[in-house]
Amino acid sequence: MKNFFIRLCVPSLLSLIVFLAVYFWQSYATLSLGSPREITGWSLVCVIVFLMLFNLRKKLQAFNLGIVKIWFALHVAFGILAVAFFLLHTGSIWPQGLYEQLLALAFWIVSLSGIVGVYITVTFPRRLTDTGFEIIYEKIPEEIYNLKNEAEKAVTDCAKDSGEQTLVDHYNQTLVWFFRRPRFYWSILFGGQANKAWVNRHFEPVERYLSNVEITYLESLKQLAERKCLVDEHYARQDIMKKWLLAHVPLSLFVVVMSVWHVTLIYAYAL
Amino acid sequence: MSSIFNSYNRPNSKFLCGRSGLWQKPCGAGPNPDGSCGGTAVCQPTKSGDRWRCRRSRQDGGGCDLGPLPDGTCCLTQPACKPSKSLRVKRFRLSVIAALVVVALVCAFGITGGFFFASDPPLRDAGTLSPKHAAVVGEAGCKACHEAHGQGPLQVLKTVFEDNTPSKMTGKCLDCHVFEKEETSVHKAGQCSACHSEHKGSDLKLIKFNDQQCHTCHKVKFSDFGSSHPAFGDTFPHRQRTKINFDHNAHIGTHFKDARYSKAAPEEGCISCHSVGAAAKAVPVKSFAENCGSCHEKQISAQSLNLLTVPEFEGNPFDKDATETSCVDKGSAEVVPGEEYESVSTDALNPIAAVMLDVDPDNIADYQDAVARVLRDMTDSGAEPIAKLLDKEGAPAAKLLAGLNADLVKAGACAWVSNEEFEPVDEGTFGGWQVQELSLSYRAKGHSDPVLKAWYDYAADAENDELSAHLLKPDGPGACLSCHSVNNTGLVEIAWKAGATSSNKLHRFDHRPHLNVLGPGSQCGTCHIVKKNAKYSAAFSQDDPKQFESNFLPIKKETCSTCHNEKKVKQDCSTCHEYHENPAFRAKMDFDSVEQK
Repeated sequence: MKNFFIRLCVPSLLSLIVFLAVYFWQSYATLSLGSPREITGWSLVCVIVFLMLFNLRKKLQAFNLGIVKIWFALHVAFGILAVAFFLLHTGSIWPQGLYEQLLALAFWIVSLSGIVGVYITVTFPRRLTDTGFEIIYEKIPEEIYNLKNEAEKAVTDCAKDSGEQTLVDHYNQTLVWFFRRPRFYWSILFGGQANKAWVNRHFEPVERYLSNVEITYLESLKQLAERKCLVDEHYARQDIMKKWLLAHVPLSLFVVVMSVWHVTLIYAYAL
Repeated sequence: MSSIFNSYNRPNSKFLCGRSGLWQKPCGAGPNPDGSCGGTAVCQPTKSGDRWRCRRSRQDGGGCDLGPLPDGTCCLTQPACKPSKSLRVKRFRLSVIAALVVVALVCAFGITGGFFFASDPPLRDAGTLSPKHAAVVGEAGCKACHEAHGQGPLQVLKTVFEDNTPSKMTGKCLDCHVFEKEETSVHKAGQCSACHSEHKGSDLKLIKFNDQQCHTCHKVKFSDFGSSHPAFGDTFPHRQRTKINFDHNAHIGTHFKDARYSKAAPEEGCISCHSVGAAAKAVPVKSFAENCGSCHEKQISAQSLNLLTVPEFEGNPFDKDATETSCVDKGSAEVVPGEEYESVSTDALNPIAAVMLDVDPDNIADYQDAVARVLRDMTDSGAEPIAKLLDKEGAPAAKLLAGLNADLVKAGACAWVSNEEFEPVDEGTFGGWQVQELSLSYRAKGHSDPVLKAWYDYAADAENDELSAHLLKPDGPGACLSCHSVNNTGLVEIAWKAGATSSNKLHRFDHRPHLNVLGPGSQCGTCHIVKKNAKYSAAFSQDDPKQFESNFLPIKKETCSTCHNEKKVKQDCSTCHEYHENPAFRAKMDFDSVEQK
C-alpha cells in the first residue's frame, strides 16, 4: 500500500500542485494584464527539461539518483503535466502559424508515443510473467537457433529410427519456416493467438499420416514449437518495449530543439 | 561484445554479433570495439610454455581435437559476420538526426528565408493576421510591425536579449492608432499585447478581455449585471444639461397645444425630431430647419448686432480739411461763428465700440476723440480701422467683419463726420451688414449665421465682462443664446451643435439594436420617460453645465436588466464599457499602395 502511494499518488499529487500553482499564477497575470503565455511557456520548458532528466538518469547509473520506479512515475506524471501546460500555453490543440503547428504536431506525436510507451511498459511485463517462461532479450537469437537445431536433430533422428520421410518432408516444407526466426510479431503484440493456432493447424492434422515412431518425434517437435511460441512472445514484447524509445526519444529531442527556435522567435518578435 | 564464457550480449556495447541478427548462434568472442567481427576464430589459444592450448568453451564443445596451429591461431575458423549496431547507438543516431533535421529546417526556412520562397521565411510565420491589420500591413509584411525582421539572423538573436521589444511593438501600434489623453485615463493602458493578441487567424477577435480582468482593479465587484451591478446614478445617462435649451415639457405640454403652433407639433412622436436613421450612441436631432425653423426662424433676424453707433459729441471733433478729400460730396459740419455745435446723435456709445476703443461709453470726454478718429479713418479706409481695432484685441477680424462693404462704410462715415444721418439705400430685408442712420450693424441672414457665430465665439473667448454682458444673453443679437447654451467648464464655450455629449467616454451604448428590438420610434418611452415637473430651463440661466435638471427621469438599471441578464442578452462588462477613452486612427495613413492597386 505504501509502495502504491509512493509510486502513483505522490507524483500525481506533486504534478497537480505544480499545475495549480502555475494555473493560478498565469490566471493572475491574465487578470493583471501581464504575460501569462510567458509563464506557461517557461513552465512547459521546465517540465520538458525534467522529463529529459529521466534519460540522463539512465546514463548515470553509477550515482544514486533514486530508484527507477519513482523516476518512471515522476516521468509519467510530469508528462501529463507537460500536456496540460501545452494546452494552457497554446489555448488550443492546434495553434496558428506553420512553425507552431509543426511544433505542436511533434509534441502531440511525442505525447502519443509516451502514452503508448507507458501502456507497453506497464502491461507487457505482466503478460510476459504470465507465460511462466523467462528469457533475456539478447539471448533470444541463440535460443531460437538452439530450438531450430533441436528440431532438425529430432527430424533427422526420426528418419533414422522410422525409415520414413513423411515427417522430414513435412518439416522441410512447412515447419522449418516457423523455426527459422521469430514469427507472428504483430499478432502477439496485439494479444492474438495466431502462433499457437498455426502450431495446432500444422501438427494435429499430420498425425494420421505418421507411424507410431514418427508420432513420438512429432510430439517432441510440438513441444519445441510450443516453446518457440513462448520465445516468440518474449521476443515481440521485449522488442517493442525497447524499440518504442526509438520513436519517443529522438522525437523528444526534435521537440526540444524546435522549442529553442520557438523561444528565439517569441523573444525576438513579441516579448 | 560478449563474454567468453557467457554469450550474453551486453546492451551497453555499441555493436552486437551479426549472427544473432541472422538468428544464428552468436559467437563467444563477439564484435571488436571498432565494429569488426571478433569471432572468425572459434577460440583464442593461449601459450603455456612452448605449447599453444585450445581455449574453446565448454558450451561450444570444449577443446578441439586438432588444437591450435603452430603459429598460435585457432584451427577452426568461420566466415566473419557483419556486427549490427546496438539499439542504444541507433537511438542516439536517430536523436542526432532529429536535432539536425530541425537545425537544417530552421536554417533553410527560418533564418535565411527566401532561399526557397520569395516571400517571408515560412518558419517565421506566426499565423494569419486579422483582416483589418492584414489589409493595412499589405506588402510590407512582417517588417511593418517587427523591427528585427529582415535585418539578418544576428540582429534577430540580438533582439532576443533586448528587453524593450514589447515597447517597440506598442510603438508600432501607435504609428496608426492614437489614444488621446490616454495618460490621464483611469485605465492608462500599458503594452498593447497585454490585451490584443494578433496572429490568431482571420476569424478571432483581437481582444481577450473578460469580466474578471475588470474586477482585478475595480473595487466594486459583482457577479453579473442583472443581479449585482451597482445601480445607475440619479441622473443617468446625463451628467450635464443638453447643449440646446429645448424644454420637452414646455413644447409638448404648452406650445404645441397652442393653436398658433399646433401645426408644428411632431406627429410621429420622438422620431419627428430625432433622426432614427443616424442613430448610434445617441439619436441625433434633425436640423434647425426641419425641427425649429417653422416657429423660431423669425426670432433670429429680429435682433441685430450693433457694431458701431455714432454717439453724442460735445463740440465738433472733425476737421473739415482732413475729410474733404475722402468725402467729395460731404464736408465736416460747418460751425457758424457764435452758433453752438449740436450733435446729430444723442445716443450713447454702443458697448461693442466701447470695448474696441477701450473707453467709457457714458463719458463723452473719454470717447469723443477716439470715436472721431475712427470715424475719420473710416471715411478714408472703410472698415479697416475697425478691423485694426479688432486685430489689436486679438479678435478674428476677417470672420467678424466678413461681408462688410467698404464703400458702404465710407458713405456712412462721411455722413456721420458731417454731423448728418446716413440715408440707407435699402431696408436690409435679407440681413447682413447694414449702415443705418447712425449705426453700423449686422443682422443674421438665417440660422447658423457665420458672422454672428464668430462674434459669439469671440465674446466667449475674450473673457471681457462688458462684451459678455452685451452678447452672451438669450435676447442678444440673433437670439442665438435663447437656445444655445453657454458652458463654463474653465473654458467658456457656446454649444453650437445640438445633440447629447457622451456622458462618459467609457460607456458604450448603441441605440440601433435597441430600436430594432423595440420598433423604430415607437417605444422610446420604454427607457426615456419625460419628467413632467422638471425645472429644465432654469438650468440655462447660469453657465455651469453640471448644474441641471433633466427633462427625463433617470434610466434605472432594471430597465436594462429586463433583457440583459443571464437568460436573455449578454451582460459582460465590455457590452457597455470601453477600455480606451478616445480610440482613434491617426489622420494621415499611407494609402499609396492601395491607390496604386
